Amino acid sequence: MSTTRTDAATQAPTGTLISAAGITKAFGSQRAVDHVGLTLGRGIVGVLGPNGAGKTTLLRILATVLAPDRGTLSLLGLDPAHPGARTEVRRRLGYLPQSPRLYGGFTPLEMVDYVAILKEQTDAARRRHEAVAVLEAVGLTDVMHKRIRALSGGMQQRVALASALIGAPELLVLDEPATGLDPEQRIALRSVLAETSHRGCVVLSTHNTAEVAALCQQVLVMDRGRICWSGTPTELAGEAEGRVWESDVEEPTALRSWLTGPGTRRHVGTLPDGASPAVPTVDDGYLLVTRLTR
Amino acid sequence: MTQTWHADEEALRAWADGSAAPVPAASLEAHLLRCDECRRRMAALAPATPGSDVVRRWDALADRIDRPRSNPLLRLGLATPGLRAAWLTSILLLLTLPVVVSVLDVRLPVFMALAPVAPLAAVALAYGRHAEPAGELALATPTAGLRVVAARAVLVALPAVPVGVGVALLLGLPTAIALGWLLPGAALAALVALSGTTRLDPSVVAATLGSLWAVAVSWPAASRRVPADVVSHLVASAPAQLTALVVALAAIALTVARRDTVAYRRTA
Repeated sequence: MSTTRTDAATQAPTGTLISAAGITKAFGSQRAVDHVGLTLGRGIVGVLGPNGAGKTTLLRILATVLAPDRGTLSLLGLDPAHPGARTEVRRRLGYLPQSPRLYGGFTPLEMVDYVAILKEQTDAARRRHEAVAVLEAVGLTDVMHKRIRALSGGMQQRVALASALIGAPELLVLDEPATGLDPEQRIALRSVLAETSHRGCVVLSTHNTAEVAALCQQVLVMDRGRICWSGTPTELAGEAEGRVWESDVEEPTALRSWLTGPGTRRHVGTLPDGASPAVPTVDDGYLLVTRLTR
Repeated sequence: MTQTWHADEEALRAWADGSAAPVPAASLEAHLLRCDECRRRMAALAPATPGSDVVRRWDALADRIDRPRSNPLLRLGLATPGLRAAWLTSILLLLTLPVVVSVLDVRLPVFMALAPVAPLAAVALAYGRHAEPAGELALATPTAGLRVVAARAVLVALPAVPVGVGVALLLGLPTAIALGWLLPGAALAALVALSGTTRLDPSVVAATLGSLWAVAVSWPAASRRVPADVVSHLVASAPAQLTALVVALAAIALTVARRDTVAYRRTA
């Protein structure tokens, strides 16, 4: 299997890496993901959406952890519904769950090495070499021999991220990877993800629009199980072009209004007569898009 | 780590150029593993050129320093407190049987009722969510599913075999009975493994099967309908053993056939 990995690494995948059509997943009567279709190639894709929009369920499906009830899915050109193809996808996949819950009795090095074992890396020396390299990439070499339970929340999150990165995956699925990271660590995360995006596809979920603007080349906005908008962060900000303004009073024509400072309100919606439009941000575009599609 | 002594420069130089005798070299390497100060001095003394002997030896040393402290097999099988508790419980259960039998002077087939429960519990715990040190992250790896569960179950259950047989012989039970619990134990454990491929909870199935087995084996003697050792001999008889073997093999075959459901359609 190491041969497969080497071949895959030398021949960087091109074209479509993820394609889905009509993906649906229900829990009881609740449709968490509802007829989702998407086509993704190389790069970093951010999935934005409010809590309960179905982001985590969609990411778990893309990570082969959850089977969709309906629809067709192709990951790295393979159909994960077939056990053999699914195993092959998992060899080339890295996954960071929303709540990783790693066993605290391991050290970061033991955990990453253990995940490498689960990823079928049998050569102990090579495994350790790679484990140290990914721990270095997430800035954890200083604490790699400490118990995970003794580390801070942000460090534990980075141990899970390092575990997802082991084996140079071509498909990286990260559910809220920046949770618990300070600004400096977020910058480090950006460079780690940029490196992965050169060889494959990174899909990450977040509800932080600033993160999407900083990290992603493409954005999918999810709401109530559906993808209601897709495009680049600039295009998302562009949705609010001429439809965002600031004032110090409530505005009847605004779809959404929020306080931005002492007495100042920002609004998205139909620009009232006489108001001058503000420079739109990804935040404005996101709020407008999720409101318009409801 | 704080060291009370440091290697002299001559010893460091001899190690770096490869002229140190094997015993002093080994001693110095052991010291370098623990002494940051001497590693720093060594690095200054022997500048690294790629591919050189010093770099190769340095890499080997760094590899030993960075190596995870615990064995991969133990991390897979006995890493989490839940798994260790399962392993210890099954061993302790078997080890305390002679005490229970002699102190309480029970005339029930206690051994045959309890011994097969040990592997059964091990398999049930191997399926448990808390058995996996990497949590949900592990579900997206190629080993996820039956492969890792089976490896874990075997690692936890296997030590119960020699302990169980040893305890039976210690109790003075006939060899047929000392070995007679193994196949029923394997059959029960395989049924629990099979339940892991369905929507049933393996721990509930294990508790139910274990209780049924214990009651079925001890009840006839407890109600004084038959002499105490008749049931044990019946379980150890050829037809019962053959039945257990068939059940075990059938359950294993079905589990393997349905392995796809373990970590994809079922648990997630």
